[in-house]
Amino acid sequence: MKKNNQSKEDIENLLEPGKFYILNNQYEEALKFFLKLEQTHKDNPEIYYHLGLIYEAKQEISKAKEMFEKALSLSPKHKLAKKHLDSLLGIEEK
Amino acid sequence: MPEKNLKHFAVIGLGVFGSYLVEYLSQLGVEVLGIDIDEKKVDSVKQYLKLPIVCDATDRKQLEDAGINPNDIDVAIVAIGESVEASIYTTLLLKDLGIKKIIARALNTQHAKILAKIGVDKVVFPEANTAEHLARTLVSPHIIEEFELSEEYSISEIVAPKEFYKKSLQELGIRTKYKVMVIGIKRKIPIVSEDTGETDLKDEVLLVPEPDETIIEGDVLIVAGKKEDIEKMRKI
Repeated sequence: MKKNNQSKEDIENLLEPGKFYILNNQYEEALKFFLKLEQTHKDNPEIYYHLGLIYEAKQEISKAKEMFEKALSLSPKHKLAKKHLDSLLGIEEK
Repeated sequence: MPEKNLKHFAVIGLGVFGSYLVEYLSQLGVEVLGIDIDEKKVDSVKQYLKLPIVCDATDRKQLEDAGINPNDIDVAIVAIGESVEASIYTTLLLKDLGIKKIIARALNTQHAKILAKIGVDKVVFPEANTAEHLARTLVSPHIIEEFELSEEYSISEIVAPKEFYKKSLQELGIRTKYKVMVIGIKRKIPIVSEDTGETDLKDEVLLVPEPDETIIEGDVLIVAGKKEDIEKMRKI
Protein backbone atom coordinates (compact mmCIF):
# COMPACT_ATOMS: atom_id res chain seq x y z
CA MET A 1 0.00 0.00 0.00
CA LYS A 2 2.72 2.36 1.05
CA LYS A 3 4.68 1.49 -2.05
CA ASN A 4 1.68 2.33 -4.27
CA ASN A 5 1.15 5.70 -2.60
CA GLN A 6 4.78 6.52 -3.05
CA SER A 7 4.71 5.61 -6.70
CA LYS A 8 1.64 7.80 -7.22
CA GLU A 9 3.49 10.64 -5.57
CA ASP A 10 6.52 9.93 -7.73
CA ILE A 11 4.35 10.15 -10.85
CA GLU A 12 2.86 13.43 -9.66
CA ASN A 13 6.35 14.85 -9.17
CA LEU A 14 7.39 13.54 -12.53
CA LEU A 15 4.49 15.28 -14.31
CA GLU A 16 4.65 18.53 -12.36
CA PRO A 17 6.88 20.61 -14.69
CA GLY A 18 4.74 19.64 -17.69
CA LYS A 19 1.54 20.60 -15.89
CA PHE A 20 3.13 23.92 -15.02
CA TYR A 21 3.85 24.60 -18.71
CA ILE A 22 0.24 23.70 -19.67
CA LEU A 23 -1.27 25.94 -17.00
CA ASN A 24 0.85 28.82 -18.29
CA ASN A 25 -0.22 28.27 -21.91
CA GLN A 26 3.36 27.27 -22.81
CA TYR A 27 2.16 24.46 -25.04
CA GLU A 28 5.36 23.97 -27.06
CA GLU A 29 7.44 23.52 -23.90
CA ALA A 30 4.76 21.27 -22.41
CA LEU A 31 4.72 19.18 -25.59
CA LYS A 32 8.51 18.76 -25.60
CA PHE A 33 8.44 17.79 -21.93
CA PHE A 34 5.74 15.14 -22.22
CA LEU A 35 7.09 13.71 -25.51
CA LYS A 36 10.47 13.24 -23.84
CA LEU A 37 8.84 11.64 -20.81
CA GLU A 38 6.89 9.32 -23.09
CA GLN A 39 10.17 7.76 -24.30
CA THR A 40 10.87 6.32 -20.86
CA HIS A 41 7.29 5.86 -19.54
CA LYS A 42 5.31 4.36 -22.41
CA ASP A 43 2.86 2.65 -20.07
CA ASN A 44 1.80 5.77 -18.16
CA PRO A 45 -1.75 6.90 -19.13
CA GLU A 46 -1.29 10.31 -17.47
CA ILE A 47 1.40 11.26 -19.99
CA TYR A 48 -0.95 10.50 -22.88
CA TYR A 49 -3.84 12.30 -21.16
CA HIS A 50 -1.71 15.44 -20.82
CA LEU A 51 -0.46 15.14 -24.40
CA GLY A 52 -4.13 14.94 -25.41
CA LEU A 53 -4.87 18.14 -23.50
CA ILE A 54 -1.98 19.96 -25.16
CA TYR A 55 -3.05 18.92 -28.67
CA GLU A 56 -6.68 19.80 -27.90
CA ALA A 57 -5.67 23.25 -26.66
CA LYS A 58 -3.61 23.71 -29.86
CA GLN A 59 -6.65 22.63 -31.95
CA GLU A 60 -4.73 19.63 -33.30
CA ILE A 61 -7.79 17.49 -32.90
CA SER A 62 -6.76 14.20 -34.57
CA LYS A 63 -3.57 14.02 -32.52
CA ALA A 64 -5.58 14.87 -29.38
CA LYS A 65 -8.00 12.01 -30.08
CA GLU A 66 -5.10 9.60 -30.64
CA MET A 67 -3.56 10.55 -27.28
CA PHE A 68 -6.84 10.25 -25.33
CA GLU A 69 -7.37 6.85 -26.99
CA LYS A 70 -3.89 5.75 -25.87
CA ALA A 71 -4.60 6.94 -22.32
CA LEU A 72 -7.85 4.95 -22.32
CA SER A 73 -6.19 1.83 -23.74
CA LEU A 74 -3.76 1.92 -20.80
CA SER A 75 -6.40 2.93 -18.25
CA PRO A 76 -9.94 2.19 -19.51
CA LYS A 77 -11.51 3.91 -16.48
CA HIS A 78 -9.71 7.23 -17.06
CA LYS A 79 -12.78 9.49 -16.71
CA LEU A 80 -11.19 12.69 -17.96
CA ALA A 81 -9.64 11.06 -21.03
CA LYS A 82 -13.06 9.53 -21.81
CA LYS A 83 -14.79 12.91 -21.31
CA HIS A 84 -12.40 14.68 -23.67
CA LEU A 85 -12.47 11.94 -26.31
CA ASP A 86 -16.29 11.83 -26.29
CA SER A 87 -16.47 15.58 -26.60
CA LEU A 88 -14.01 15.60 -29.54
CA LEU A 89 -15.97 12.85 -31.26
CA GLY A 90 -19.13 14.91 -30.88
CA ILE A 91 -20.68 12.54 -28.35
CA GLU A 92 -21.57 15.08 -25.70
CA GLU A 93 -22.89 13.83 -22.41
CA LYS A 94 -26.56 14.68 -21.93
CA MET B 1 -51.86 26.01 -23.99
CA PRO B 2 -48.54 27.87 -23.85
CA GLU B 3 -48.31 31.56 -23.01
CA LYS B 4 -49.51 33.97 -25.67
CA ASN B 5 -46.05 35.21 -26.61
CA LEU B 6 -44.80 31.69 -27.28
CA LYS B 7 -45.43 30.19 -30.67
CA HIS B 8 -47.35 26.95 -30.90
CA PHE B 9 -45.63 24.30 -33.03
CA ALA B 10 -46.83 21.13 -34.68
CA VAL B 11 -44.31 18.62 -36.01
CA ILE B 12 -45.75 16.11 -38.47
CA GLY B 13 -43.63 13.03 -39.07
CA LEU B 14 -41.62 11.75 -36.13
CA GLY B 15 -38.80 9.86 -37.81
CA VAL B 16 -35.18 10.63 -36.97
CA PHE B 17 -35.34 14.29 -38.11
CA GLY B 18 -38.76 14.96 -36.57
CA SER B 19 -37.75 13.31 -33.28
CA TYR B 20 -34.63 15.46 -32.93
CA LEU B 21 -36.69 18.52 -33.82
CA VAL B 22 -39.28 17.93 -31.09
CA GLU B 23 -36.52 17.14 -28.60
CA TYR B 24 -34.66 20.39 -29.32
CA LEU B 25 -37.86 22.45 -29.39
CA SER B 26 -38.84 21.05 -26.01
CA GLN B 27 -35.33 21.82 -24.65
CA LEU B 28 -35.93 25.41 -25.76
CA GLY B 29 -39.04 25.49 -23.62
CA VAL B 30 -41.52 25.35 -26.47
CA GLU B 31 -44.66 23.24 -26.28
CA VAL B 32 -44.99 20.98 -29.28
CA LEU B 33 -47.74 18.90 -30.75
CA GLY B 34 -46.31 15.80 -32.46
CA ILE B 35 -48.07 13.73 -35.08
CA ASP B 36 -47.21 10.45 -36.76
CA ILE B 37 -49.21 7.62 -38.20
CA ASP B 38 -46.94 5.14 -36.38
CA GLU B 39 -47.87 4.81 -32.69
CA LYS B 40 -44.38 3.53 -31.77
CA LYS B 41 -42.74 6.66 -33.18
CA VAL B 42 -45.12 8.93 -31.26
CA ASP B 43 -44.53 6.91 -28.12
CA SER B 44 -40.73 7.15 -28.40
CA VAL B 45 -40.79 10.98 -28.12
CA LYS B 46 -43.90 11.51 -26.01
CA GLN B 47 -41.79 12.97 -23.14
CA TYR B 48 -41.00 15.98 -25.35
CA LEU B 49 -44.56 16.57 -26.51
CA LYS B 50 -47.33 18.66 -25.05
CA LEU B 51 -49.71 16.56 -27.10
CA PRO B 52 -48.74 13.25 -28.75
CA ILE B 53 -51.12 12.35 -31.57
CA VAL B 54 -51.33 9.19 -33.67
CA CYS B 55 -53.13 10.01 -36.89
CA ASP B 56 -52.90 10.01 -40.67
CA ALA B 57 -51.82 13.55 -41.60
CA THR B 58 -53.00 13.05 -45.19
CA ASP B 59 -56.59 12.87 -43.90
CA ARG B 60 -58.15 16.31 -43.47
CA LYS B 61 -60.66 15.21 -40.83
CA GLN B 62 -58.00 13.51 -38.72
CA LEU B 63 -55.84 16.64 -38.86
CA GLU B 64 -58.77 18.84 -37.82
CA ASP B 65 -59.63 16.45 -34.98
CA ALA B 66 -55.98 16.61 -33.87
CA GLY B 67 -56.40 20.36 -33.31
CA ILE B 68 -54.53 21.59 -36.40
CA ASN B 69 -56.10 24.97 -36.99
CA PRO B 70 -54.73 28.51 -37.29
CA ASN B 71 -56.05 29.49 -33.86
CA ASP B 72 -54.03 26.84 -32.04
CA ILE B 73 -51.01 26.32 -34.29
CA ASP B 74 -48.67 29.09 -35.45
CA VAL B 75 -46.05 27.00 -37.18
CA ALA B 76 -46.36 23.54 -38.69
CA ILE B 77 -43.29 21.58 -39.72
CA VAL B 78 -43.81 18.75 -42.19
CA ALA B 79 -40.93 16.43 -41.33
CA ILE B 80 -42.25 13.37 -43.17
CA GLY B 81 -39.25 11.50 -44.53
CA GLU B 82 -40.66 8.34 -46.03
CA SER B 83 -43.06 9.47 -48.72
CA VAL B 84 -42.90 12.48 -51.02
CA GLU B 85 -46.61 12.10 -51.80
CA ALA B 86 -47.60 12.08 -48.11
CA SER B 87 -45.42 15.15 -47.50
CA ILE B 88 -46.95 17.10 -50.42
CA TYR B 89 -50.49 16.08 -49.57
CA THR B 90 -50.07 17.00 -45.88
CA THR B 91 -48.55 20.34 -46.83
CA LEU B 92 -51.49 21.11 -49.13
CA LEU B 93 -53.94 20.22 -46.35
CA LEU B 94 -52.13 22.49 -43.90
CA LYS B 95 -52.32 25.36 -46.41
CA ASP B 96 -55.98 24.63 -46.90
CA LEU B 97 -56.59 24.60 -43.14
CA GLY B 98 -55.11 28.11 -43.00
CA ILE B 99 -51.93 27.42 -41.02
CA LYS B 100 -49.96 30.69 -41.09
CA LYS B 101 -46.44 29.33 -41.37
CA ILE B 102 -45.46 26.02 -42.90
CA ILE B 103 -41.94 24.63 -43.03
CA ALA B 104 -41.44 21.46 -45.02
CA ARG B 105 -38.59 19.02 -45.28
CA ALA B 106 -37.60 18.12 -48.83
CA LEU B 107 -36.36 14.65 -49.67
CA ASN B 108 -34.89 15.59 -53.06
CA THR B 109 -34.59 18.61 -55.33
CA GLN B 110 -37.76 17.80 -57.26
CA HIS B 111 -39.68 17.58 -53.99
CA ALA B 112 -38.15 20.90 -52.88
CA LYS B 113 -39.35 22.58 -56.09
CA ILE B 114 -42.89 21.27 -55.62
CA LEU B 115 -42.97 22.42 -51.99
CA ALA B 116 -41.80 25.87 -53.06
CA LYS B 117 -44.54 26.01 -55.71
CA ILE B 118 -47.20 25.04 -53.18
CA GLY B 119 -46.08 28.11 -51.26
CA VAL B 120 -44.47 26.81 -48.08
CA ASP B 121 -42.66 29.47 -46.09
CA LYS B 122 -39.42 27.54 -45.93
CA VAL B 123 -38.05 24.36 -47.44
CA VAL B 124 -35.43 22.56 -45.38
CA PHE B 125 -33.10 20.05 -46.87
CA PRO B 126 -31.31 18.53 -43.85
CA GLU B 127 -29.38 15.83 -45.73
CA ALA B 128 -28.15 18.26 -48.39
CA ASN B 129 -27.27 20.91 -45.79
CA THR B 130 -25.36 18.45 -43.62
CA ALA B 131 -23.55 17.02 -46.65
CA GLU B 132 -22.58 20.51 -47.81
CA HIS B 133 -21.34 21.44 -44.36
CA LEU B 134 -19.37 18.20 -44.04
CA ALA B 135 -17.83 18.69 -47.49
CA ARG B 136 -16.78 22.24 -46.61
CA THR B 137 -15.24 21.18 -43.29
CA LEU B 138 -13.40 18.29 -45.00
CA VAL B 139 -11.95 20.56 -47.66
CA SER B 140 -11.39 23.48 -45.27
CA PRO B 141 -10.37 21.85 -41.97
CA HIS B 142 -9.68 25.26 -40.44
CA ILE B 143 -13.35 26.16 -40.64
CA ILE B 144 -15.00 24.39 -37.74
CA GLU B 145 -18.53 25.72 -37.72
CA GLU B 146 -20.34 27.90 -40.17
CA PHE B 147 -23.61 29.73 -39.89
CA GLU B 148 -25.02 31.12 -43.10
CA LEU B 149 -26.55 34.60 -42.81
CA SER B 150 -27.39 34.97 -46.49
CA GLU B 151 -26.06 33.72 -49.80
CA GLU B 152 -23.21 36.20 -49.51
CA TYR B 153 -22.54 36.48 -45.77
CA SER B 154 -21.78 34.01 -43.02
CA ILE B 155 -20.44 33.67 -39.51
CA SER B 156 -17.60 31.14 -39.32
CA GLU B 157 -15.24 29.74 -36.78
CA ILE B 158 -11.62 29.74 -37.91
CA VAL B 159 -8.61 28.39 -36.05
CA ALA B 160 -6.29 31.38 -35.57
CA PRO B 161 -3.33 31.09 -37.98
CA LYS B 162 0.20 30.99 -36.53
CA GLU B 163 0.89 34.51 -37.82
CA PHE B 164 -1.71 35.85 -35.38
CA TYR B 165 -0.20 34.40 -32.21
CA LYS B 166 0.84 36.87 -29.51
CA LYS B 167 -0.60 39.81 -31.46
CA SER B 168 -3.57 41.94 -30.42
CA LEU B 169 -6.64 42.34 -32.63
CA GLN B 170 -5.68 45.99 -33.06
CA GLU B 171 -2.16 45.12 -34.22
CA LEU B 172 -3.54 42.56 -36.65
CA GLY B 173 -6.01 45.04 -38.15
CA ILE B 174 -8.22 42.15 -39.25
CA ARG B 175 -11.17 44.33 -40.19
CA THR B 176 -9.13 46.50 -42.54
CA LYS B 177 -6.89 43.77 -43.94
CA TYR B 178 -9.40 40.96 -44.36
CA LYS B 179 -12.73 42.85 -44.32
CA VAL B 180 -14.17 40.52 -41.70
CA MET B 181 -15.12 41.27 -38.13
CA VAL B 182 -13.99 39.16 -35.16
CA ILE B 183 -17.14 38.94 -33.06
CA GLY B 184 -15.83 36.38 -30.61
CA ILE B 185 -12.91 34.20 -29.56
CA LYS B 186 -13.28 30.62 -28.34
CA ARG B 187 -10.43 29.55 -26.13
CA LYS B 188 -9.44 26.47 -24.16
CA ILE B 189 -8.31 27.61 -20.73
CA PRO B 190 -6.06 25.19 -18.81
CA ILE B 191 -7.28 24.74 -15.23
CA VAL B 192 -6.68 22.56 -12.20
CA SER B 193 -9.98 20.86 -11.35
CA GLU B 194 -11.14 21.78 -7.83
CA ASP B 195 -12.65 18.32 -7.30
CA THR B 196 -9.86 16.08 -8.49
CA GLY B 197 -6.78 18.30 -8.63
CA GLU B 198 -6.27 17.09 -12.20
CA THR B 199 -5.21 19.31 -15.08
CA ASP B 200 -8.18 19.96 -17.37
CA LEU B 201 -9.39 22.41 -20.01
CA LYS B 202 -12.30 24.81 -19.73
CA ASP B 203 -14.06 26.30 -22.73
CA GLU B 204 -14.32 30.07 -22.70
CA VAL B 205 -16.00 32.36 -25.21
CA LEU B 206 -15.02 36.02 -25.32
CA LEU B 207 -17.80 37.82 -27.10
CA VAL B 208 -17.11 41.18 -28.77
CA PRO B 209 -13.42 41.11 -27.74
CA GLU B 210 -11.61 44.35 -26.95
CA PRO B 211 -9.08 45.61 -29.55
CA ASP B 212 -6.20 44.90 -27.13
CA GLU B 213 -7.16 41.23 -26.78
CA THR B 214 -4.13 39.10 -27.68
CA ILE B 215 -4.51 35.96 -29.77
CA ILE B 216 -2.95 32.85 -28.30
CA GLU B 217 -2.19 29.48 -29.82
CA GLY B 218 -5.32 27.36 -30.20
CA ASP B 219 -7.73 30.32 -30.30
CA VAL B 220 -10.75 29.89 -32.53
CA LEU B 221 -11.92 33.15 -34.05
CA ILE B 222 -15.62 33.67 -34.65
CA VAL B 223 -15.72 35.94 -37.68
CA ALA B 224 -18.57 37.56 -39.57
CA GLY B 225 -18.30 38.76 -43.12
CA LYS B 226 -18.54 37.94 -46.79
CA LYS B 227 -17.93 34.27 -47.50
CA GLU B 228 -15.20 35.09 -50.03
CA ASP B 229 -13.36 37.27 -47.51
CA ILE B 230 -13.62 34.59 -44.82
CA GLU B 231 -12.27 32.10 -47.35
CA LYS B 232 -9.28 34.42 -48.06
CA MET B 233 -8.56 34.69 -44.35
CA ARG B 234 -8.66 30.92 -44.01
CA LYS B 235 -5.92 30.58 -46.61
CA ILE B 236 -3.38 32.61 -44.61
